[in-house]
Amino acid sequence: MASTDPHAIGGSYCCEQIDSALLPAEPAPLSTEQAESLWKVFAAIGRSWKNDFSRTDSAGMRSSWFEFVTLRCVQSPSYLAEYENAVEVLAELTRLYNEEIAYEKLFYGIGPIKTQPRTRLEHCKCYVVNEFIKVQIVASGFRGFGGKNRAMNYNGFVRGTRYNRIEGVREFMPPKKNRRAK
Amino acid sequence: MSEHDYILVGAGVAAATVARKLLEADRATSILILEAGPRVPERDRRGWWNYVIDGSKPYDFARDKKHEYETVGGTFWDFYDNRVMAYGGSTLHWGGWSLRLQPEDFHMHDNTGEGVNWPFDYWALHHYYHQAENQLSVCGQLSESWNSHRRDQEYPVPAFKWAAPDGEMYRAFTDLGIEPGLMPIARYRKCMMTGTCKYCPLGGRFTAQHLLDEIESDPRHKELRIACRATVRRIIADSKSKVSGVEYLDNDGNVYTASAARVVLCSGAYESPKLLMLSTSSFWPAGIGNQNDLVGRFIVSHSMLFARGHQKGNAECWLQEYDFPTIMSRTYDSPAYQREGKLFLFRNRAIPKFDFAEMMIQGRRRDEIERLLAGAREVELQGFLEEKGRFDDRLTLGEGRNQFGLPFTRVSFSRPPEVLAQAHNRLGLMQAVVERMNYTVDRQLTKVDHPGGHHTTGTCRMSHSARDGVVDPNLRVHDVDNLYICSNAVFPTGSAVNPTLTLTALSLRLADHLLGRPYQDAQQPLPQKKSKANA
Repeated sequence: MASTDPHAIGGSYCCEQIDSALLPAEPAPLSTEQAESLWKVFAAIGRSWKNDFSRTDSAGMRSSWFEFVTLRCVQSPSYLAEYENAVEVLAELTRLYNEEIAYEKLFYGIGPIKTQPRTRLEHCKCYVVNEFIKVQIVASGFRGFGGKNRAMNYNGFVRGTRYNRIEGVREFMPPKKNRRAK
Repeated sequence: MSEHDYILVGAGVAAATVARKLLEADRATSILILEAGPRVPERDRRGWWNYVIDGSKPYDFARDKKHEYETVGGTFWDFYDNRVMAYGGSTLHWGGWSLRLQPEDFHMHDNTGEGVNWPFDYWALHHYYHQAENQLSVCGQLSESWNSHRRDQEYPVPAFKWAAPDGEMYRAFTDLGIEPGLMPIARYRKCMMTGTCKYCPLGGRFTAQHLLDEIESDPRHKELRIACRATVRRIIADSKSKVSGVEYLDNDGNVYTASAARVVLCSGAYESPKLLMLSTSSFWPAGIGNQNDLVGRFIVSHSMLFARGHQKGNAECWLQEYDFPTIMSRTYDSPAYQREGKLFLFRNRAIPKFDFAEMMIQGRRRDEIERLLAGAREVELQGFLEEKGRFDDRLTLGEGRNQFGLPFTRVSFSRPPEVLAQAHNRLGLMQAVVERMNYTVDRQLTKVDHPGGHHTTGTCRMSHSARDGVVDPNLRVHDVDNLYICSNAVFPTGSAVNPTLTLTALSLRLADHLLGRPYQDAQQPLPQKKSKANA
């Protein structure tokens, strides 16, 4: 059921107030279904900011993301409960609106959450969406910006197996006659 | 009879280098390395992702906390982010900048009438510098004019390429008669330029952890033991001229003693003098080597200078792509500038910076982010200003002990007005570069900052005589036969560049001395005769 607050996003589950700390969980892997639900969030970030890698993923976006969420779950402190919460939040938002509007509200309707997250929806934004955004940017998503002047490298970006055969950064070539100052 | 041939106090680059060379000569050498801090996992994937996501690093807890240090005196001494107290030492967080001191740095007093000379000249370290560069896998280019004294000593690894934003500064430098150069950086394994140097996922940037892991895992080194969370609290003096070993605590506060034929303090410029001060006895009432009250004095580091500028557009969409600076200059790190204070210049590699993720987290849409990316751009030229150590500037023991059982630190430092005036003079030169680049200088962020303790030196300085310093030219504590100090503390002058390469060279040189080998002194070149055409 949608919240009665006209400004609130989501229903009773999303608006439930909970402690701001990471939801406690024992380390354990994600199930396949949970992983697929979370992957949809990650892919939606790409679509929303026009960094759509769904057709080609030669940069290994999916493998970077999967390594990230796996480590987040199987090592302490485990994010498993946060990911389970995020799956439920998305399910409620999708039921109340539709899938694309759910992502629109999640990505643009909440803000950066400078203070600690206070609701299940804010937990989803803080511990899942914000972190997925960072993972996507460093795992080559930064290249989606800048058009013909896009950067070749970024803090956190790990180049692939051809790393020593392609340029690492945008380079400056000094003029030959001026390579040493007078 | 001693339990060990050597006890090395501290597990940073100095201890790793000394230990490795001793073991290469004799694999059965008995060495005990005692490190107060913990082991921090290297190349841990979750630890790396944490760094990428929120900037936290696995060794952040091993730094000085605010209540653990005190700065007194007229000038604030910045302890923040200075060092890491852990296995591998401060190389866990260093930037890898690896520059040799210049020949004139060894003759400060002769050239300026201030400070002191080193008890040997550059040529005593020339071959050791080359070995250090090979050990740290330093990349650089030989063609720069300040490298002329290197002769044919090539860097082991080619330099990184210039980054696109370097071009503006390159042109401004050359227009103003400043020679641009490429920053020599210590790599170790293959660098893939992940831009996460402070916790490299690949071990691409050198840390002493790599070296310690290598020697510890070598099955031939049966008598090497490295103990972490083992805080040495005093050196045990058997007589005025001999030490027998150390007393140390483990994590539970249990006290142990260990004996060795020789003890080497590889504990950095803060802990080396503090340990001497703590080691009082009837033979040394003021602490070992402190008979002339020189331990802890002449503390000096680099003052930081910043010149920031901004301009309206960033049509090229430049942003940070390396996590280390590429363009630098040593034009002002030369004999002509030694009297007034040498200056080492380099571009702040983190500016311009653009945080796409933060824009997205704030809820900004794609087209707005693109507009911001092409919007205003900043540049920052930074400088290390050399300062000269003074008698009244000193490090002493603070009240209390930190989480590792190390005593708190107190620094009294006061920068004289004439030095501040010199610094502002240098700042004017840096502003001229920024203006030449067609940026508007940001007056608020263009400043002379207080000294940062990252490059602290001088607290147990070298000298020929105990009247002038704490250790002799062999790094042996004056009047003590078997106690040595191998840390930045022994530098008589701080120069204008980072100290780690010089420390590594000194460590290699000390190892030769400990092994009874002759020093590998280089032949000083003869002055060139002027031809009739140039007369």
